[in-house]
Amino acid sequence: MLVLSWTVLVWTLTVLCALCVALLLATVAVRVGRGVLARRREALVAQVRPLVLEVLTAEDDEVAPACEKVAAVPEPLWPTAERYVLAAFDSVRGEVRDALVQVLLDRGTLARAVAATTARSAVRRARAAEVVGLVGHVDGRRSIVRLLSDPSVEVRTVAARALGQLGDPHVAALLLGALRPGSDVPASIVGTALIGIGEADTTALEPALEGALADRDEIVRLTAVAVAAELLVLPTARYVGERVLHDPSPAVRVQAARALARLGGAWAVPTLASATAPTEDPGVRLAAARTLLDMGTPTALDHLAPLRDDLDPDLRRLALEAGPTLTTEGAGP
Amino acid sequence: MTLDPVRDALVTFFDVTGSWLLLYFFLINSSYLLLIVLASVNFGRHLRRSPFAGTTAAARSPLTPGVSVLLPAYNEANVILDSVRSVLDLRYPDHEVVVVNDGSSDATLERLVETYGLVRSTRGVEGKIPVRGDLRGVWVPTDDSIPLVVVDKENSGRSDSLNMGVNVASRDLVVMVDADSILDPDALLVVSKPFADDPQNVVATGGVIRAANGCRVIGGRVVDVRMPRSAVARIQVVEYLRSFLLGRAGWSQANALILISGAFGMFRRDVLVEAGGLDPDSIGEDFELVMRIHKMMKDGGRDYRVVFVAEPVSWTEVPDTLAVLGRQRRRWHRGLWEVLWGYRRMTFNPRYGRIGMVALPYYWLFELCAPLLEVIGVIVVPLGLLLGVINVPFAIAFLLVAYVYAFFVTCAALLVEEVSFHRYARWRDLGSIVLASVAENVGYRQLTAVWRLQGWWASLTRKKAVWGTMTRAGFGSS
Repeated sequence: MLVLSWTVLVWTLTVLCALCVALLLATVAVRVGRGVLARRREALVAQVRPLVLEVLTAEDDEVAPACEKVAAVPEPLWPTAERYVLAAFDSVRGEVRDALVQVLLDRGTLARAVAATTARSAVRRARAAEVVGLVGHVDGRRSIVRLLSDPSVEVRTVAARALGQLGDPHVAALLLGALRPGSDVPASIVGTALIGIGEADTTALEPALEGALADRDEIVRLTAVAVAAELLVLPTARYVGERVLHDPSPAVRVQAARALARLGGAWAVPTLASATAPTEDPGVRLAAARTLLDMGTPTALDHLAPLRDDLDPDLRRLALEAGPTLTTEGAGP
Repeated sequence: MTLDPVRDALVTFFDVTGSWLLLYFFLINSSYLLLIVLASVNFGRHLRRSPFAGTTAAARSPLTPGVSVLLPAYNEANVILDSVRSVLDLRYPDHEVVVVNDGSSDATLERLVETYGLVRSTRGVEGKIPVRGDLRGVWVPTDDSIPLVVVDKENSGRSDSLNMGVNVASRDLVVMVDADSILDPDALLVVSKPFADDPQNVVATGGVIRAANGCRVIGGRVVDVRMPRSAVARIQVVEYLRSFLLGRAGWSQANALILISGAFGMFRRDVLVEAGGLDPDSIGEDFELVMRIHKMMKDGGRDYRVVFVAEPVSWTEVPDTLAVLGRQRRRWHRGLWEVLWGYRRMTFNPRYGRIGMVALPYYWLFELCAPLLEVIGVIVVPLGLLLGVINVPFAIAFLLVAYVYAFFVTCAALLVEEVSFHRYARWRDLGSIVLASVAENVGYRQLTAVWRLQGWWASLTRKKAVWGTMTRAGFGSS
């Protein structure tokens, strides 16, 4: 049993009170400090904002002179201007973006970021990769490719995203390689990066996607199917169709069935109908049925008729949604 | 009549239990402190990485998993339009809103029909999760660019309504929010990120609940965060900060999160269906669902994660009267007891890992039993003082140590909040929070302890559970 003395209680109370006061003072100090920093930052931003906005709103022949003003920002103000420009890149395209990229290159932003990709801190390396991706210049490519093998998963993830922003289709295979077991780079990041690359040049992506559709790794196949569907890479459509029935992974079969809503045509209907067979995985059946419903053609909808009496209520619901267009003709997979 | 027997009994009681009670009080507050430390690790990691978290990229990506937002609504006419509008306007590449009108007797459905130009649809609602309430109709907007479905059904309770919503949902992820809640604009993006990062393993995520009372709401958005006016609501801000934000972040960091708020929880739809949806007979249905998912996944030997994400906020109106608060706390504690009892075989069962060996014992010992010990203390200490059994200065010092330690834990929570999310920007609000933290220990805790015990007793005596009504003031948006 604990033995409490008056002295122990008083000392404990005193220490606790002191700690409470210390914590409250720390809270106040943090708030004051944040306020001071915010005001300082705002004062700096107020000086660079008009210059950057002038570039963003400039018409054709006004862009160059406006960029010169940004480029001429004095050194103490430059970090603020750099951050503001980079933050604006999400919503800037075309000539204005190209002009601002040149300003950043001239002021050494890319060089500093590339140098920071070898920093000891993973957070610094990740931030550097983010900057390289935002600048989007080919000179940063090699450093980003190297970061795909970084020890930190956050750095690898940001590097994957940055490669997507660089837009070089030759890195597609490397990006897909970032999905290897143990890498932990989210498939959605790699997929989005590939979509970003493919939007510029879908044809250049086809070989990598075709190879990925046959990859032994489930996540690679899954990502390839999703990207192929999103980019409407029609030459891969038949490969995707094969995945619906023959892929060993139910997740890939589901994704492939969904992908046929965009990639498929009349040729895909028998495949999807087969995928609604009672012996198939429930998720695959549902995905296939939904794709048939989304296709909406009479042939596709006819294959939903047998599902009206299916044991799976989700399938019965989809069959009902197909409504009066269902006929008994041609029913059955 | 001599009071000697009572006096003797009290002396014995204090002799036997005094130090143990102090130890218990020390342990419970120290455990909160540990959770706060774990939470600060979690927050630090989150905040360091947020500059390159890729939220904007996720907002545009076609590969970001689709989300069905389920809004069960019962007599929410005052708030439903703000709530639906705020959800429709959330920044997310692919989401739909499924409102399930649970037989409202007010104008909840009518307001939705009128505002969104809804027409009846032939869309089916049958699904794998059995539902009890009969369907009255399904309504969709004539403008099919608005991703909204309103399911009108007979009144059968929140859980049953959510189950119907899950059946109707068409996306891979399902998020359950309360109709009286307002989500931050990027809430879906942030709370879904764990699913995008780890789609194979993450099965559920939860976000933060904060009090909307006193906040300025415009166009379905909380634009100015302020402390509530009522003292009761202010103290709940402190409670929510400590328990809902820091406590859950701490448990999530320890990979032992067993509770996601029903007001803001996201689930993989296939896992939810496999688990059988919410239990309509459970008072603590959100807790029970997460426990069932844990059991299902552990029994199946499957790798999985349940994650708390600290940043996305669901703003909700908290009770601002003692009567409504009392009903809520009785219900919560009753739900806690029923779920803990229902899953008692998982407790101290190594098969269930940290859930069974750490989280559940914690909840039994500290969450369930704390009000019992608190109420015993409230009874025996004054009695002891009256009968001269307790040394008065010693008792006062003892109580001060206990309550100042609790205040210290709250101060630690305040500091972590200030460093991390600092939602309450006004100095006046910081002052209110500090005062509320003090006031919490003087009457409020004791009152909630009594309510919680009442809820527990009601369950033990099999009294019929009643949800009661929460009178909504509405968000008063412009």
